[in-house]
Amino acid sequence: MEQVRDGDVGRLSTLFERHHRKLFLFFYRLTGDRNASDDLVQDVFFRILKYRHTYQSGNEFPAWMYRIARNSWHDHLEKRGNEESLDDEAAHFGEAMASTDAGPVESLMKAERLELLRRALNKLPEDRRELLVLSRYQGLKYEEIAGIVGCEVGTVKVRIFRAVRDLARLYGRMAGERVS
Amino acid sequence: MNCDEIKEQFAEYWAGRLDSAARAVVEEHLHGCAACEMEAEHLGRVWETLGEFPEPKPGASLRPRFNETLAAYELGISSARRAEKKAPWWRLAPVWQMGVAAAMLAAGVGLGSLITASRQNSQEVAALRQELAGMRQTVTLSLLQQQNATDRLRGVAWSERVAHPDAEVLTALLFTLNHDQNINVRLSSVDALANFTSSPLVRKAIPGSIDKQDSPLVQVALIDLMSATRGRDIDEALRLAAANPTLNEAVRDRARKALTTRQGDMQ
Repeated sequence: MEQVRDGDVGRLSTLFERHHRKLFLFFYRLTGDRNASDDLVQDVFFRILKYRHTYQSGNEFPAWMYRIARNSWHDHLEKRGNEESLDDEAAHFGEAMASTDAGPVESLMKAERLELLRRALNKLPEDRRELLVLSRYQGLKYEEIAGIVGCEVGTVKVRIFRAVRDLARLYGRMAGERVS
Repeated sequence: MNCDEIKEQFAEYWAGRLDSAARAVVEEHLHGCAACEMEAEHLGRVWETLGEFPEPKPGASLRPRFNETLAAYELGISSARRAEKKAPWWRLAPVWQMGVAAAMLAAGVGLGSLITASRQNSQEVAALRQELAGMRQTVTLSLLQQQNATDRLRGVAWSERVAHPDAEVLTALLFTLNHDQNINVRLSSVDALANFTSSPLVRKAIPGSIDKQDSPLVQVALIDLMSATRGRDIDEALRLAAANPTLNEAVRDRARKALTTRQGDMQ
């Protein structure tokens, strides 16, 4: 990233190859929308070019990238406002069905379980969902997450535990409603 | 560690990110505390299930779009550098540059730094502007070619962000207007084209599009677009539409009203 900052912007291709897939999944877990996630990844790399002068040597590039990604996502949420999300439940369900090699009944049960969990995840407040995604899917440690979201490590620990606990409650409640 | 502190370690524990000592502390606590053990097991199952979601891949257009953006940005930067090389001789020769810089210092350090900052900013802004325009055009074109109508609608919406679209983008929009299967996409393209009626390509193509439409809704939208566009060629096209027996009566009526309004405006 230092070379990109110093004018060799072509080197950004290497960073794109290394990080774009993980970044895409970060946005996909947050939005549930592939097209929006593609756009957001594009926006992040555009912002990296735009703000490359602000990158400081010695900083971890992924942490800096995720800070930009969060800003991009928050802007996306603001712009989207009350617009209906393109989140497509049927498509998610189909994907979940296709993702398993089990028999039809098992596949259906798994797809239903994942669909419920996905809906529960979407019901979490955005800040908690974001922390959970950073921890669960992006594989980041508490200390790294604290650096990205700009708060104390202790706060991150508490919030991530609460996010998992709240998710489990929501999931349990939704599963109970479905049975009854 | 008390129960709360142990629970705060759960995520790192499940993810295998604790070192052996910290892991041993958590496990020892769980063996001795039934409540925490039960909670860890319950929440741990949810954590595990989160890992079962399928992992979709980014869209096929993402990499080409990125490459296009990067190429456009590099082009912008090199253009800015070329402009820099054409700078006056006293800015290129180091000795003279120092002399001038000294003179500038004498004139005022504050003023000198202000000018430098402004020059760097304008280069950056020029590069970014060029890059952004290229990126928007690429995004528009790639979206307009998608299978999904929602994507094509997005492409039409993106076109409105392009301040000065080139012929390729305008042609793609006109093609969408005349051939897209989805009526909403065609209607949106009429709105988007309203921004570019100063283009001869668009002005020429709009009147002819009425005959290509099978939906009176789109035809009415085109009449409205024409009625908001000045020019004798447009007047003539409206007259033809008003008298065209193959068009729906409501469409002809709209064209007649547009003509009446335009004649009223002329007087």
